[in-house]
Amino acid sequence: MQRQVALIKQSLFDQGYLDEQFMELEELQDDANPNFVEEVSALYFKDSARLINNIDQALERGSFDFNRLDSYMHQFKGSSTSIGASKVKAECTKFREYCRAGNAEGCLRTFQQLKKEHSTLRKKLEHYFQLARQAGPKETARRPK
Amino acid sequence: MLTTSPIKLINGFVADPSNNTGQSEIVQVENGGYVDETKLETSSGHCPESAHQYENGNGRCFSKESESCSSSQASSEGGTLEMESELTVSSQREEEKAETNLKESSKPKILLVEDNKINIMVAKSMMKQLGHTMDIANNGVEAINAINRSSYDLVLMDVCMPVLDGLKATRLIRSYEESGNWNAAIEAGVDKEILENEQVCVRSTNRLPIIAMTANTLAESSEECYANGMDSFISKPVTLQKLRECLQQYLH
Repeated sequence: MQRQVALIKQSLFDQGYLDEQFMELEELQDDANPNFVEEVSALYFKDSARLINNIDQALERGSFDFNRLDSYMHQFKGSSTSIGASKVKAECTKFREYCRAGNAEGCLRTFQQLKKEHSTLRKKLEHYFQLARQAGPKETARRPK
Repeated sequence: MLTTSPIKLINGFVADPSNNTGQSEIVQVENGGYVDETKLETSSGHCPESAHQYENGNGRCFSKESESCSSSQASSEGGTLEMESELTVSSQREEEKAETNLKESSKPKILLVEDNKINIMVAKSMMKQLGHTMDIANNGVEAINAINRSSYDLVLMDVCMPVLDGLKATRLIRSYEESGNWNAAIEAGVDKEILENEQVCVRSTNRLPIIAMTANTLAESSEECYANGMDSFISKPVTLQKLRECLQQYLH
């Protein structure tokens, strides 16, 4: 079981969903905080869902306030960077570039892609954490090769 | 060192400084809209990236050797893992027990100024592992109020924040250090009454180390940070190694 968990984690890194910052978080897990990564992850998804909602509403209104959108995305990118959500972060960067260029079409397209990546990551991490809990606490602290 | 004045509780976090239970003591500094926002230059973008006229900042850079804090090149990203023995949990506990016997004022006071909840959670945890506790402020105004109330040994300042960003807050703090008053801050819209009513009794004469936490974009570049009075910077994402180096450099 632990091997399965390790393999899943490895693939998340190999496929670029997560970067080394995620490992930083794992280093912070110990007996006093055995579920730290999962807790940060939960906070991240809760907070980013709120941002996605805000951006959705802003885009639906039709008026493209690029400053405001960029501001939301700055937050989104910040959080994504902090937990090592690599693909999501990349989409955030793209979105901000379109904001700066005043490209509404680009923003809309990128936002769709961002939501997809975000959703995919959430599912994968949920699955990973679930298995990790079942397998036991030791595995999550180990670094993949 | 100086004694601290009590800080109010919010969010149910324990703010009793004499209570060293080994738990991470996080004190939330309250804000509550005590700002005349029409005076603040920040517009819808609360980042320096929005059109923003800077006065000529105090470009004092005491320690250019502070490059070590910008450890993105030299950091442990992708490098080998090091578990230094002094950071194991058991020795941390011993350290904390020893500290309860000392005067509370000898424990370094660190202020984290950051608005992003995830960043706060991660930084808190990292600091805890390094054996330190932190007060939290969510924007530049809260930071100024906190600094006015207590003497801090180190400030970690996010650059991009709502209400008052990190660069401007730092400029106002440096002005306070130079002049001994908060006139510049009041002029910028920070609430006068709070500053005057809750001032710390004895102000430290030492320069407060302020370390920027920057996303390292053009507007948050190291040059900007130094120009606005920061001593050094940490590139995001914040890592344990970057924080450790910072503490080693700036906490004596």
